[in-house]
Amino acid sequence: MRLLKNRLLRQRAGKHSYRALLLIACLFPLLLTGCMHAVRLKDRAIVQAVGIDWEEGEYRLTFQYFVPEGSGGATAFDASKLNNNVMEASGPTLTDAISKAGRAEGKQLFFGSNRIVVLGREMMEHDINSPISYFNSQPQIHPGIYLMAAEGSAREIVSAQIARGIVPASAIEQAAERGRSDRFMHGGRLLDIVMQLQSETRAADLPLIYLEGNEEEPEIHIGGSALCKDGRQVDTLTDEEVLGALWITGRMEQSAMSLPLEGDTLCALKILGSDARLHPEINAQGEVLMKLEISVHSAVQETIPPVSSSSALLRQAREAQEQEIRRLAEQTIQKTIYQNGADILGLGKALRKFEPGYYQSHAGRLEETLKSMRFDIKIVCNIGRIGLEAGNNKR
Amino acid sequence: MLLLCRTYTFFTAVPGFTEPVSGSGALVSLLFSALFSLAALLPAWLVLRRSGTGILEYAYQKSKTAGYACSTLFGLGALFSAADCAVQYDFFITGAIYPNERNIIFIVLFTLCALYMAWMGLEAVARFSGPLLIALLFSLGLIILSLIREFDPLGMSPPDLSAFPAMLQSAYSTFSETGELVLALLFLPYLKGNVKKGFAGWLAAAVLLLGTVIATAIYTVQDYAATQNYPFYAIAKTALLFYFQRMDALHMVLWTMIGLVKMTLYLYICRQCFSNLCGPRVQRWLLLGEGAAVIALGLVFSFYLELFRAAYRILLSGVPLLLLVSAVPLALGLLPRKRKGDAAVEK
Repeated sequence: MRLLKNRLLRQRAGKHSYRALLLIACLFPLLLTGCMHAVRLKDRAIVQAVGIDWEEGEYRLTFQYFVPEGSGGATAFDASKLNNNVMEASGPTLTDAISKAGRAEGKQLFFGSNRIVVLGREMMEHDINSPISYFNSQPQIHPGIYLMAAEGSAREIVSAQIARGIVPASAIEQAAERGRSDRFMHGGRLLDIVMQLQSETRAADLPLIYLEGNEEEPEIHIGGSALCKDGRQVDTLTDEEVLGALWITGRMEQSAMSLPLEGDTLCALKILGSDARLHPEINAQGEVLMKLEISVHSAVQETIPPVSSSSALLRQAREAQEQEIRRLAEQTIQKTIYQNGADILGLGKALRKFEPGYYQSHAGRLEETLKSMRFDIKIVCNIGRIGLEAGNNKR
Repeated sequence: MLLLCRTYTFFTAVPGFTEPVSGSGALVSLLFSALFSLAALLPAWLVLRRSGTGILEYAYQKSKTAGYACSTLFGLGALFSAADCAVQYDFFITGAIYPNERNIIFIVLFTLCALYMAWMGLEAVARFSGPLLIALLFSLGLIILSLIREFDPLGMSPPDLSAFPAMLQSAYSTFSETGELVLALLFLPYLKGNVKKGFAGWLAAAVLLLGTVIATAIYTVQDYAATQNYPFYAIAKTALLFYFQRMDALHMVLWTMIGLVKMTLYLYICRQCFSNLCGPRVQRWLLLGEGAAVIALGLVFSFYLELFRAAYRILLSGVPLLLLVSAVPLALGLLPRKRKGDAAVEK
């Protein structure tokens, strides 16, 4: 009797636990719904690029946001179409302008997919700190987005309908990524620029972005940098000066150099990697001699006309490379340090690391110290690869 | 579990509350904070080493009044620490992830989850903490790996000796936030093996782990992290790795789980303390009462920021921690032991 009673109790318990499991399984999906305000995708403007201009004493923002132009279906999109809309808004603050844009379009702006922020010429000359600080404080913005300067207005860049990629902003992002990987762009991310602005001279350089081609088929070009100090643009760096900055900061790699050698020979070298070391020395008079040692490892890609990669050729190539790197570095130092006192090369950091006492005693006069600094540049070039073609095949 | 708690405090610390010390000075501060922790626990170690019991049991051995007083003090301390956990988590989530959402959602849900975990018991939480620690170490490894390309040898400079007082101040602030010392004292009865070695191991592991994180930040994106309210979250956000790209959602989930473990420990300890003060009927409702108190405190602190800042300043003064970790054991040590006759009278 007792056994039967226990058996019945176990059966009943089994039914109860089965029902409890079933109830939990049905309730569990409720946890997947989230507890935040839900916003439908069609009510969001997924911003891909933002342009910031300064017009008539207020911010003028241009937004490029994703709008699928599908070949069929509500959510499908056609990659051959431009898939974007452009909207503009202005206001005394960035928050105000963004809020107005959202109200005008009837959508909530979402910056999580934003890839590019472009500052117009007038914004660069007025104040760069406020927009940079705004985007640096936004949770949706990733620190790896590209921050660039336009020669004219940012509106032109952001509203240009570039037929490459899913949206025009993709073309700008691809150009920026190519610039970073091929090393003709110095920094350019929000992260890089914020870090540069923490330097003692509050200097940074933003890559310059241009439009080329005609209105119907515009193309993006990135070249040079806008040199900024104390919150505004003070000068422009040419492509060569940007290259010099890359050499001095040790970021040059996977790039190419074409060098003239003896006898009208041209030699193209592929830069496999480089390293740069800064080391300050203080002499008895309290003057700073900044020792810069750049070492570079390259490979011969091409010679015109084709000649064998003899020891003589390699020696000439190394000498030519050394001269070229020295020229670029000196040109950059002249423009950034001597002319503008803008430390985008990390000289203050080197002084703080290796001569902390001197740095502390000159903390308020770093710009003067930089402008009076002398440089001793040593360049070590190594060409370790000469390609696959055997020397006997070349005449 | 204690290592997880220590890392959570570090991840959710906001620089604005304490004197900022950057660069290698932060590493020096970390070392000094560990020394302060050792020094603060010295009285407790001297007093408890012979008894082999926890601090509450030792207090009850001295006298019932001392036991009640200690239970109340430690219980209230654990309750406030649990509320602090909820508030810190709420500030982090609404500051870094969901800036437009209301605090009440996060405080209530976070507390309810922690209550459930406390109800499940210490063993369940301890078992959960093991894989969680491994996941945390893995995510830290991913972050460090992805930041290698940002390596800047000029990032680390020697500590500025003129800023030594600021380093000590920062070390003291870090020490005063180390509520895990209270947990260590109260969890003593539950620990097996060589407790001294275990505690030293915990302290060394915390210094090593946090030191590695600080050193990584110094050599990579230190200047960027210094502009952010949650520097370590900013570093985690920066890290992009291969196909995974952004991993901040992964880190956020991990830190939420770590925060829950920390809060659970405090709720558990709070229940243990207050259960000494009340009868079996009330003990059944203690957890719920704690939950209600934590939610109420959490909502008040999250809505009235100035009140929270005032309370946090009291915490950063180190007075509450030193009171619980050093002064109470010292006072108990000076009390005469309960005589055998007193036990009969009390009965």
